[in-house]
Amino acid sequence: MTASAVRRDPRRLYLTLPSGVRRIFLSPMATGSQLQLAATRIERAAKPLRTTTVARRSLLAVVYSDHGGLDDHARQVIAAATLIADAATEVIVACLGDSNDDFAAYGADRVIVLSDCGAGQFHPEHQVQCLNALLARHRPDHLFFPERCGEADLARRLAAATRLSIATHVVELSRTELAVRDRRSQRLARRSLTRLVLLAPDAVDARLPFVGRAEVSSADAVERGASTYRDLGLTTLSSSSLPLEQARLVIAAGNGVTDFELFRRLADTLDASIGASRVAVDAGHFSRDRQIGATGKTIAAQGYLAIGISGASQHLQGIKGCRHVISINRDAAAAIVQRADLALVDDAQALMQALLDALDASQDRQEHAA
Amino acid sequence: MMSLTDPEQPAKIAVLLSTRRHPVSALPVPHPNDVIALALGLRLSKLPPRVVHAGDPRDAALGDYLAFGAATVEVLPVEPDDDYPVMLARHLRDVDLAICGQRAHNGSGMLPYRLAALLDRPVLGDVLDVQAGDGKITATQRLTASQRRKVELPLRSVIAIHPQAAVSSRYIYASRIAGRIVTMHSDSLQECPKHEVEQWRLDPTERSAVVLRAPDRRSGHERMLSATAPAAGAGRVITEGTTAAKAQLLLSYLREHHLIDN
Repeated sequence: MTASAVRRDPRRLYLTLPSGVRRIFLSPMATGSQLQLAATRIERAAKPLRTTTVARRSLLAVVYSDHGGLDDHARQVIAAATLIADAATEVIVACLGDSNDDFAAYGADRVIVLSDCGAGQFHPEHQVQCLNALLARHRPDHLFFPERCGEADLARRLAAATRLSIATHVVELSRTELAVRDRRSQRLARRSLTRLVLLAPDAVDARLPFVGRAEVSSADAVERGASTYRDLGLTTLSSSSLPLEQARLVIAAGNGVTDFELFRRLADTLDASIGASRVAVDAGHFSRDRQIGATGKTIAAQGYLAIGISGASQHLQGIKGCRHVISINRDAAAAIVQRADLALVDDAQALMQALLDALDASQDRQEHAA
Repeated sequence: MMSLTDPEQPAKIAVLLSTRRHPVSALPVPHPNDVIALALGLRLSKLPPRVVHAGDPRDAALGDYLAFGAATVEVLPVEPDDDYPVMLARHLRDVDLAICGQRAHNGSGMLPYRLAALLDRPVLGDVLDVQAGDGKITATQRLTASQRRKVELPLRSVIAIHPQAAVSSRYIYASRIAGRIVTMHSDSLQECPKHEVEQWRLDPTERSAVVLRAPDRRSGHERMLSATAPAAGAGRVITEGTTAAKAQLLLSYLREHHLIDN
């Protein structure tokens, strides 16, 4: 009697469809990564195109690609353009520098990649000329830039050269108006939309319920003339010389780390800033200024690698602003696993050693190729 | 050839200053970014640099700039609707290098760019440090927290100094007493063009900015589901596989999200 009863695992993998229906995976072999793949596919299929109307007007978002990808601020600027565009307006993205990103997901209808205008080479005259060529060809109603060094510099050069109206440090945006913070009264000051808009970070939510067409088109070739500026090259400061709050990649040790020599070697190889949990600091392995958490520092790194950290709520408070959290921990039930984008359940020492070996191997391969 | 080290024909440097109100006391105080720009200007030239302010000559903050090392502050009296970059450009035509702060207290940061366009000179912003050479300057620009770029540009240019530039300055009361504030009057300054009046309207009360987000058109049921159900694909937990495979996965994750370079 009992042998014939079909027993189902109540915790089997499932997926909540956009319609709200829970879909159970029947295959007993379904793994987490398959589930994630299916989820992205369903999500992609569920998102409609923003507009299917023939474009009569356009908006232009100008962003730099960073290491071949677009960061949050750049995506927010594209999202801003798509959110204030109407059905007959197409959103054009001018990407300065190469990028392999999925621009459709960012909401772009047309993508123009200007490979020779990337952040690697400082040639502002050429970049302004390229933007002028885009202005002449597409006649966008408004241009959107992120308010940060590279793009803001370019936007201000363009505004000074063409005398187009410009608003900087914009914190609020709508179809008709924009607002900036008046630093004297701390109130918002509003005006009608300007031709050039420099958006402050986090003025826009980059999550969109639609996708763009992301047609790739090329720009008119602009001859690269001589520059008054001579670029003497970029230098990157080592992470150890940066304060923890400004670091791009932070690697932190907790109670699960016993081999600190290995840990420091890994931090050096990854060029990551070193942080620590309260337990590791109290044990005297790190100085107090390395502590991350409620009583220590609050960081906003792009990448956070937590090694042997269980993730007490005070610690999680300190990593609130981190974009990608990766945890290495022996305990799959630890709180950090809930927070982590990628959680590896393994011994910290063994995994650190394996990671160092993998890094060395890839470096050797690069040297052989060169 | 003009040189900063040549005593016969020293380079003419001008520092542009703005003032601001203290956020708590509302007293006129010097702008910290401009204090840094002034210190850099003083360090660069043997001659005292020309120090220029466009605004009210009676502004009490100008005295503090004298204490920070300006021998004379030249003030161009301007009205609020004057297009003052035009006046500054006329005033600074025979100056070699113009230095200013990145952004005035309530400003847009457009002044160095406007000035450079009017004077037809190169301009560089976010400058942390300047080294002067033979008719050329080498500036270190701050790109991100960890990235710096060195750029060589002609001496006749406009540079905007980043607030984090590491230059120290001292407040000396004696130089405040010794210094002078001079109001400039000349015919060329009389007919200043008026710029388009920007229609800025202040909100009646102080409030936080509203984030622009896509309208949520889902039904109540869908919203409740998304609030209660864990987001699909929020995080991956890897328990199986060898340690080496996990390390490889971690490495590819770091590479995929551009967190490491190699």
